[in-house]
Amino acid sequence: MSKFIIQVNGSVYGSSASFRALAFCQSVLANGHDIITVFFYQDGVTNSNALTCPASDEIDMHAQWQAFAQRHQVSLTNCVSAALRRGVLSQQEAVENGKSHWNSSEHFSMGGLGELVVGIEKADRLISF
Amino acid sequence: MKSVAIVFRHAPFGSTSGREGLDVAMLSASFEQQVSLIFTDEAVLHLLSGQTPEQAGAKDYLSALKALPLYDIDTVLVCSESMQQLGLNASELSIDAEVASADMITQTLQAVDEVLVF
Amino acid sequence: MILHHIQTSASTDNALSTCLRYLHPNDSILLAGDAVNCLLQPRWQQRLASVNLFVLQDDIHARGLQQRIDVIAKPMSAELFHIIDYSNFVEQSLKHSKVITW
Repeated sequence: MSKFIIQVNGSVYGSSASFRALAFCQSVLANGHDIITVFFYQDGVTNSNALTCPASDEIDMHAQWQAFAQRHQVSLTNCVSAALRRGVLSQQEAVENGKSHWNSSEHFSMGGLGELVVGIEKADRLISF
Repeated sequence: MKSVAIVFRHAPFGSTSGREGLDVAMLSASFEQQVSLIFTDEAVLHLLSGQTPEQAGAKDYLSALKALPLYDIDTVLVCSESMQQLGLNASELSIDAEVASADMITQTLQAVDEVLVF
Repeated sequence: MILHHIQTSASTDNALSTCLRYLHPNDSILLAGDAVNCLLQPRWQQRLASVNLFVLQDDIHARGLQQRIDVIAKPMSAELFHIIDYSNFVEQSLKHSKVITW
């Protein structure tokens, strides 16, 4: 059994990188390996935006990541500074920054880049998308 | 501790990948990882002196490059081929960096534990 | 022994050409997403002919390129040209010493 850390830089819509990252993650688990965390960085943080409303005949990457995390108890981590810059906030960041709304769903935790670094240190492989 | 190479391959300011890559580099170094930086393609332009990022709507993240030795980031490689393509000379670089052949960069990529590209 | 992971079209991004500049003879390249389209161009077919190459099956199928790529792959060495699924991708990521996503 090997330990993976997955980095997602591709956005929730407009790029196919997030879709491939999820397919890779599902395959990692199906092959009996472990995912330390899926770390969302750069435009990847938009995957945690619970307000995405694609049409019913389109893929909803936010919902897919959320369902994946729930089903397999995989941790999803947003880089908080990359998220704040792009208007992706959890309730706590909204309060801290004086905003009355937030959009990051609870299945995505906010963390620092340190979590990526520590994850890389612990993992057998880093795979970025 | 792991050895990590951060590769920069995108031009400054047109995207934020240089800035966000540099954040990863500095944070990795402050977590005691062994960090090397590699600048290639138009990303070598990050190392020109006399730039004013604010005029392009960017944060002045280039000044952080001068602090690399404080983070113990001593290996900074710049692709000689990319420099040649853009007509840059080693004397024009704003920081102490090593102009590296493709072979040397290949060896560095082979030697480190992980590589992140920005 | 590195697996170089290319996700972007060689016509709009230089990820593939940059990776080739630093490729070690023992390394492999994985084409995924729009990167698979480069196989349609003779100039990339030639440049990649001597490289151990993996191509993500879903991305070939999604783009309706399977028959074309079968024809293109015919003269290429079967030992160097592999169409793989995600499970093989996971396996190859572990067989190689690291994966660089360009």
